[in-house]
Amino acid sequence: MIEKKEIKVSKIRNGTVLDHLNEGSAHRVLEMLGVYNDYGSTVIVLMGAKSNSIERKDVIKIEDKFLEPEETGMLALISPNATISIIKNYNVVSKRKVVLPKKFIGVGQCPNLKCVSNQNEPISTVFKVETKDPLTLSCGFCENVVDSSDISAH
Amino acid sequence: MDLKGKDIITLEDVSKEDIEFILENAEIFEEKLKKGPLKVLEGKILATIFLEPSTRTRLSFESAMHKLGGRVLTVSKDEMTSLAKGENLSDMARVIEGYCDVIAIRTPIEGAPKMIADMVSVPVINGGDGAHAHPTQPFLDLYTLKKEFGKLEGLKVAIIGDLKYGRTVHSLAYALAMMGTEMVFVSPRELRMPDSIIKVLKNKFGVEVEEKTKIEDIISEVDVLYMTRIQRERFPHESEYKKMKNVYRLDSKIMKNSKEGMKILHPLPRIDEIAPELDATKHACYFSQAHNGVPVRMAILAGVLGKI
Repeated sequence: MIEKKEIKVSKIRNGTVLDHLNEGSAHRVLEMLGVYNDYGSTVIVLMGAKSNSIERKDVIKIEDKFLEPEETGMLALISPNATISIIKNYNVVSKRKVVLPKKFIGVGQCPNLKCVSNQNEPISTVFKVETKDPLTLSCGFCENVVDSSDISAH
Repeated sequence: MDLKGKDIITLEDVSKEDIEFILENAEIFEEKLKKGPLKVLEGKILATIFLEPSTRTRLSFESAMHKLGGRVLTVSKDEMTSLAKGENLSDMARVIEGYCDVIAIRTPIEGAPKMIADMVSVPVINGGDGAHAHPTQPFLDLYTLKKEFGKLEGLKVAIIGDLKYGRTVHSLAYALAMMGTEMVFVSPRELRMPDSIIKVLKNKFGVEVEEKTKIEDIISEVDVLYMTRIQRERFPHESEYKKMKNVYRLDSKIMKNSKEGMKILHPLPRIDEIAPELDATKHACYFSQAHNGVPVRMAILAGVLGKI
């Protein structure tokens, strides 16, 4: 008899499940989404879970938050294989993969300290996608080309 | 061709046709100037915001505006402006746009001209932003080459010196690639042209570039030596600068192997890269190159203000 491996985690009634996140990325994902300790509803974080498609993964379930595609595009920076499921009344009503946007606005920080986006100016960072694999980006102001980890690490 | 209202922030903002248009009009203005000052931009005001040292770029912009009949307002030091009171650059630019019809800016802050161009309604011309870009310099370099050789396509240009930090050479490499000019890069390994630029030259313009470390290896085969200064202000450590500063120097000895009609260009200021003994030779073009900044910037100003 084949033993079925199951991850036992509570289901959420309404909200969003972020699955297949890169192992160790959960905290950064929550930070990117602006979900902190004072978030009013339940947040379930599973780290280092076994997965069929990637070796280990993180999973996040956020009750009462329905993430729109424009909010999850930035996930491509740190977890390009992530899937997003919208849950309503315990059922999956939609499921999608992260779609890489053409540009990221207001996400991350340019590693070039001389860049205008690192000065005291009222502007959001802009990064244009240069190559998808590996993911490299160019700053919309100083045009420095950087790896995605260089901007998301800040 | 219409440059009206256009911002010129990087070379990517201009097409090959735009460059040809600017060069043609620079030639027309240079010719017309022989008969005296013009009134093409009468009633128009240029604001030059220069927050880094500059002689040629600022003065040639200002001279160009005066020769076209326009007027100039100048901000030359941040200590003398509201920046010293803690105002940010974007607020200052939004105020200045109300006083002028066009802005030319130089700043050590990379990407600042782009930010300002996005915020204000008057055209913005980048006069150099840190190590990022200096897009009007290659126009006058191309203009100089065209005047000297009558063509750009098919020339072989060696770009020599600090190719890592030098914004002039980054912009120049794009412009030469756009115009079909062959290039060879000569630099110490530590100051090579960034891979990101070499990649764009290859992928966007289909230009394969040779890289060398010695002038002697290429001097007999090139039409142009484009010398650059090793820039102290771009080095994070003084010791690195000292190691590199005298690595390339042109003198009459090294010039013995050059082609008969070979020309030397330099965006200036020079320190020790070109021996003064070469100034009087037929190879030296760097002073006329600097003078060419005026007709070229006349064409740029008249172009973005919709007067040509």
